[in-house]
Amino acid sequence: MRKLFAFVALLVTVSVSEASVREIVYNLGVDPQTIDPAMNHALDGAVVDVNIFDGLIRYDFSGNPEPGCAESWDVSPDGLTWTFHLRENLRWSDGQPLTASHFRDGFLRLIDAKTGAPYASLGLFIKNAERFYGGKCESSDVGLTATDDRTLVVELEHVNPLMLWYMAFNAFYPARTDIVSQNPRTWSAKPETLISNGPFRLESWKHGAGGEIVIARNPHYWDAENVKIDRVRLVFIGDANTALAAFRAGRVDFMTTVPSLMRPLLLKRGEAVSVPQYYVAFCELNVTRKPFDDVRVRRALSLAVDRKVITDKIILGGLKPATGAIMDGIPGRTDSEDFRTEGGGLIPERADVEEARRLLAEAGYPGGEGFPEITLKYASSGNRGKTFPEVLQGMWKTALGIKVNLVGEEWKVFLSTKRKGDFDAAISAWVMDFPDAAGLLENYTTGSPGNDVGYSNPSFDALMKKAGTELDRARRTDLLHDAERILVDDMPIIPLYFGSDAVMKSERVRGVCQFPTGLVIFRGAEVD
Amino acid sequence: MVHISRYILRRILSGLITLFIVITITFFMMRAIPGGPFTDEKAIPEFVAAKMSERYGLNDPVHVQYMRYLSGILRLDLGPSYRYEGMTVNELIAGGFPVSCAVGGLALLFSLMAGIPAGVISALKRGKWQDRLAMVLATVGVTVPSFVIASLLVYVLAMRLGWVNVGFWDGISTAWLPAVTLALYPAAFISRLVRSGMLEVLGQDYIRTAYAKGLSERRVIYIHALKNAVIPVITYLGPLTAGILTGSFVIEQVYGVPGLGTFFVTSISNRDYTTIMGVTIFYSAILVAFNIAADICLSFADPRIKLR
Repeated sequence: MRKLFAFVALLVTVSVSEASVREIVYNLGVDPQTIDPAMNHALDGAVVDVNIFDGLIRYDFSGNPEPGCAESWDVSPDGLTWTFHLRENLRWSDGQPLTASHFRDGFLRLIDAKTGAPYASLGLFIKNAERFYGGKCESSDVGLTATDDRTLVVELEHVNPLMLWYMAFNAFYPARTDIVSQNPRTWSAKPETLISNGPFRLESWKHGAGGEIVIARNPHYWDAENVKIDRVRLVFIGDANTALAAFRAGRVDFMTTVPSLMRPLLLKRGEAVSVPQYYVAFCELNVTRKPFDDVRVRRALSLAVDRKVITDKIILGGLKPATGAIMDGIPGRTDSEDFRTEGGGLIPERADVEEARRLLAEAGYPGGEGFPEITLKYASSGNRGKTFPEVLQGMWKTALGIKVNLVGEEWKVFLSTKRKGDFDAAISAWVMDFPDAAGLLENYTTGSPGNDVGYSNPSFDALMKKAGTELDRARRTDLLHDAERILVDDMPIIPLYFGSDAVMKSERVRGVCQFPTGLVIFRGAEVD
Repeated sequence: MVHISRYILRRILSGLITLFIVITITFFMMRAIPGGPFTDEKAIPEFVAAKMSERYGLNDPVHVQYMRYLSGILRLDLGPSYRYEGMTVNELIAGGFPVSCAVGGLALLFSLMAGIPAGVISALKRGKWQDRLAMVLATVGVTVPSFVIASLLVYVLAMRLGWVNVGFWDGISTAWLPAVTLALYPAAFISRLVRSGMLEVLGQDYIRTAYAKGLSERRVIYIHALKNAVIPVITYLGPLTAGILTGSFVIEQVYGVPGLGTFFVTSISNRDYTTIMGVTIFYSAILVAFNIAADICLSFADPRIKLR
């Protein structure tokens, strides 16, 4: 009998402790390639990293930079020397002290060619980083100095207007070289060796379709007292319908993987809410090929598209016609101003068929006569589907009388042939890593790796170059406005719509922050 | 007994040659697909991409990579995955195969339990409603793709009725629904094989003799007839077992099963070269093994078949 009581008591304690675990289940949707901060270049990995690591700077709950591991910093008048002062008693998740040299090691990993980091070029603003990457100087020559345990001095090659944003980004997290050097490839894949310094730490990682990453509260985090939940399970449910079933069954608390066909209905019913995203969909035109080398043709193609019809009748659910290249929500001259509002509508929402026809005739193709058959490429295995290319095909045929062939290609075939310039026109999209207009615009400078369309305009390049080193926020924003206007006038890309995310969230969860970059932050979350 | 072990040895040797050919063809074919493991929507500067490829030895000439890969295989080392940083292909297979095995084993059991009786009944009730019903079900099982059936089951059982949980793997208790879905096609196929095998056998002299000897119908059918009617099923079981135990992409995606089947598809779309090779070799080896096993079983079931 006593045994039975003991057993019941045990059961009760077990179930009580189970119940008191404050846990959130978030559908990450994909099993990340890596969560090594220096190696990651995908959103899914960044979502994990931003919750288990903490940079010198971290994001506040509205997504802006605020002091993270650094409590303060000084900038030299020329903007070329940044001195970060770290908080007292910073610790890693294994209890070891975290010092300024760990940040130096993290930055060095990024710009060390041996690491093979995809985002290495992001670190080239640091003094001598490019020479170090090329093996032309020692790490001691790089402009990174830990003058003591709590002071990191970063010297810059050229001023970086986005310095604080970079310092919050996963590429600039600290590193434990004692661990990384022992297991350079595997350290970030196993909880035993992934030592981190953020609000959470890695507890487990199960790969595959039904797998998950579990992160648990890190008691050594400097702001641990404000972390109100014990655990987050980041599950990899890839099928959107299954995710919806799991959400309705109460097994998923938060997700953005809403089935695209059900999205309008779920938004209308209020089951899902639309949240802004720094997303713009566009059509790329290969300006090195005829007839797209003629700006009148490119403008005509843009004017023949009725963006309002696309967003209100065809692709439903929280989209907006693209009235410029830069989407809504990007800050402008000041934090309270909006880049798009400042720039105004550069592209009409409705089609202007008459003007489009006039431009096409002027280019030598009256009524589409003599216009070659063109090919519009799209990624058939991507999530954008065939509907959208078909709509463009139809609009161009009706308005301009031109024949468009559609070619769907598997995702990586699409990307690699496009990169080689083997296309006429292609459906594409861009999501910003930072709330900064330059992120998209700099793709179209001459020779930029993202410049698949082969666009080159010296005055655009000059503006972008100037903006890259302009520290005055208002002046830099004006330069970017000028650059955007040139890009939209030249129209190597036809902006089509601005996207948004649909979020489903259970009522027991509060304070999960999702930013328009797609990052999700659980630090301030609470559960009932 | 000696001739059986010699037979097995010879089959293993020819299996190894098959594997070698599979490895070689796969290795060079996958390199011919445009795009590589580091092709990404956000373009990576040329000089950085070169360093990334260097890290995985992808800058070496293809024949050097091929020889390096072969020498790895001899040590049973399938190499590091390009898609899952820090994981080896061996680890991925070791993690996914037990799960696929559990679901697949259960599915195999279901398909035999449903397929054989259905085949026997429709043969005995040839042309009657039982036969027609089995025919309709088998046609549905063979023709409707598994992603349709799986999505339908998720919609009805999980979304509408709330009877099952999907999207999470809680061990064997979550395996039955994926297993049932996975079993539909082979069950239908097996039922047709058994039906035609049964009809053929029932018309033969030895069955008439058995009846004439006064054996009960049950004994005639389940002992004498069925034994010979399932012989085609044994042949089919070789490739079926290999296929079903290594998982299904669709079933795993829809139900959230962390099995091996996912890697067969995602490794290709990710251009995860080592994983493409790893799962292909693994599947081929299992296929060869089960085909040998099926042939041996066949020689016991059918004395007319001699192992040479």
